[in-house]
Amino acid sequence: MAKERERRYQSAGELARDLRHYLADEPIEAKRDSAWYVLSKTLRRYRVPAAVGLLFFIVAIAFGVFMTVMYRRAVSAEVLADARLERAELSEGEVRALLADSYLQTARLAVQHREWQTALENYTRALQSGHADQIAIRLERVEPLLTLGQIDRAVDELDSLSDRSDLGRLRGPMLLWQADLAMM
Amino acid sequence: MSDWLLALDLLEEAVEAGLAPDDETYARALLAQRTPRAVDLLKQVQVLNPNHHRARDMLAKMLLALGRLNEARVRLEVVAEFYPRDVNTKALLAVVHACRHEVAAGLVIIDALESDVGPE
Repeated sequence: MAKERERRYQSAGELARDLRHYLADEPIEAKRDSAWYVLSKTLRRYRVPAAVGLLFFIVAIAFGVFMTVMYRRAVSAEVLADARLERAELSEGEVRALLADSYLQTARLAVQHREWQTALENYTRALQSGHADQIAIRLERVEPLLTLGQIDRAVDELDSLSDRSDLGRLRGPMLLWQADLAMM
Repeated sequence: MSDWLLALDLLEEAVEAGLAPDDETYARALLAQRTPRAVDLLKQVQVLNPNHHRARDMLAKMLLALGRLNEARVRLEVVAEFYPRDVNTKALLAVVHACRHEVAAGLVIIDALESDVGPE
């Protein structure tokens, strides 16, 4: 029997009427307690365990949300790091190219100033730094080699260049250096 | 050991293969039949490219060969003023001094050269 008066039959007549309806296979007035009512009653009865359970549930949800956010941040950071690494690798290549080119420009400036030792050193550095224009640099290096009296190295350089089939526009200058050497 | 015939062949081949204007004028100077013509062409190279050192050095040698010692000296002294660390110019200047019988001046240059590049 329900504790609350309003949840019971209000008179014996109401009970009798529901019994008659039942026997006649007709709908009755009394209703089953709603699920929400049962749940609220149950929760009220087991207040402490329910509070502890609810607390665990909230903590679990909060932890799940927190982990999802952290995972997304980690993925974003990883993508960003990969992009930065890729850019850093490109930059390294660019830096190498710039370095090699700066050696070449220094060598050319030294040639203009007839500072042959400096020119030779910087042509060699440009070659060792992997400058893309290896053939042109090797040919340009002949002048400081000859001027500094390193004839054998100059001859070797020209001999190895003359064997190449990819000299292109540098074939004329290479032949000119060979002519210079022949006149020495 | 100089091989002039080979040099002439190579020069003609170089001109045929294609050269920049300064290099081509330099090659034509070396191919010139007469030294005064070569001198004129070498001076043209200097106009085309003031940094064409081979032409500049060759011009000094040609002037020496023509006996135009004073002109050679003046040109080389200007070059030496601009490029004090250039060994070629100093060596040529010493030769000019020797040709002019200025032995003391030549020896001063040779001594300075030795300290720069060694006795060889």
